[in-house]
Amino acid sequence: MSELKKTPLFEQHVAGGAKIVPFAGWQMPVSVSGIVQEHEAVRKAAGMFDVSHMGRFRLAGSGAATALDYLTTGRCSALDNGKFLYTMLLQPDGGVIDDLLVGRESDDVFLIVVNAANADKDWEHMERVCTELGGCTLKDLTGQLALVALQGPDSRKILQALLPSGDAARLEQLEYYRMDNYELLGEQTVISRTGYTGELGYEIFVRAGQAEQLWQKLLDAGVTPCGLGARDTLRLELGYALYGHELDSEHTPLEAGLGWTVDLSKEDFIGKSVLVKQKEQGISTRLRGVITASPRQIPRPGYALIAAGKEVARLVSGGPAPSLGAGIGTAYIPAGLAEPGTKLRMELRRDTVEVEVVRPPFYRQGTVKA
Amino acid sequence: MKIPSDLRYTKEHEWVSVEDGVVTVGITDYAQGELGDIVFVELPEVGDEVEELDSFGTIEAVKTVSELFSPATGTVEEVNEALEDKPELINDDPYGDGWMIKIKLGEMNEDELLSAKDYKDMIV
Repeated sequence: MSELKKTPLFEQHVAGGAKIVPFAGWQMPVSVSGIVQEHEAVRKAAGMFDVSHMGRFRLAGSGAATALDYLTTGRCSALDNGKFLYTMLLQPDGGVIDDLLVGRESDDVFLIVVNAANADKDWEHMERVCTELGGCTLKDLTGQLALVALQGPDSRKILQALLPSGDAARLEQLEYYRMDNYELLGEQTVISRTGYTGELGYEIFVRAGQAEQLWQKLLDAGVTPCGLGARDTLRLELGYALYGHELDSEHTPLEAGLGWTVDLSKEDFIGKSVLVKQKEQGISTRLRGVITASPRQIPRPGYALIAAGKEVARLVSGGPAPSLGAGIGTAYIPAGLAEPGTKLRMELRRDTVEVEVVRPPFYRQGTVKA
Repeated sequence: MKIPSDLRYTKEHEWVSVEDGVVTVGITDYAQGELGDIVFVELPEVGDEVEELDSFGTIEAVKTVSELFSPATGTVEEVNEALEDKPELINDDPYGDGWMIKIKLGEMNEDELLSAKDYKDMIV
């Protein structure tokens, strides 16, 4: 086991009293003031997350768009400049290698954000395919850029206060899933209107050497520092997939309820033939949410779902939903039991309780498109 | 982190105080800190029998669920009802308002309990 990596903000987390845990090869804050408090700060005001552990690559060259069309499930070649796309890298058998964001910086330059746990495997896969296809070069930006996610209904006005007035006015116009360059701390900085919380928010691709200064300015503005714990409860309330839970090499995006990320009209892409076949033949299990009747009944990953006395699925995610006052989880449920409203039993503390099948999101009041 | 010297401790991070044949049990400051925000505690009812080293309940934090282990055999004499609505008392005041149960002592192997110093040595 190689030594755990530290982000450029590690010292800030320690100084702020964060509880640090190993995560995907990195030393990351799991909580700072408490997960529930951090969760509520993001829903009601503004919180910030250090997500510098996520892999960031740049793919550039005249063949970049073509390579991405073949590598991912989406039509990256059709992206406008400045636009992001949520998409998937698939194995030939349709299983998911990773979910990722692809943003078009200019006609031949794409910014790619991948999961920390998969960054090495994604790099090898993309590098191999890009070398075969030619016309593009992959570069790793992870070390030179930090990534700070500022999330919550107050995030726009807080970020605007750090920008020159012209840039602040432009930020007001930045639409969901778009990015642009802004003068931040005296340097041109990419800011995207993206996130993982369901609230209005931004991700700031700040140069590593400036990350501490940005973090401090956001602290001074009253932003609550948050850890991976709140990141997980917030994303689960929205039903956003987390690789290793909702997504893995054993399930296709169609089974995961992410058919909207798949463009089967593309001429070819890795995994396409399996997805076409699956679409024709129908899907035998699909990802669904389950919700409990009480906040005292907390689903956890691995808990069994039971129908007619028999185990039919195991949860892949689960936890309390602070914004809902219930427990929530996700599972791959057999198609016949996956209809929203279906009642199943869930094992809980040597007993079972009733849960209801729902189609995520669980939480629908977010400000993400405000 | 607080480890009061007048209490004794289990290897499962509970604190124990014995007075007039009644054992009061809670979890330590270290344990609540490791668990993080506690969202639910399931405790036995008054009159239930508990067995030394057996589970007497469950504690759920946002991220994890853990079993609670009894330091003694006996009958549950009192349960901290306040924790039903305010489980966060365990985070706020683990040795005071966050106490969990009082057991009318049947048997307890006191040799298994740690002093404050020994408990501190165990966790650092």
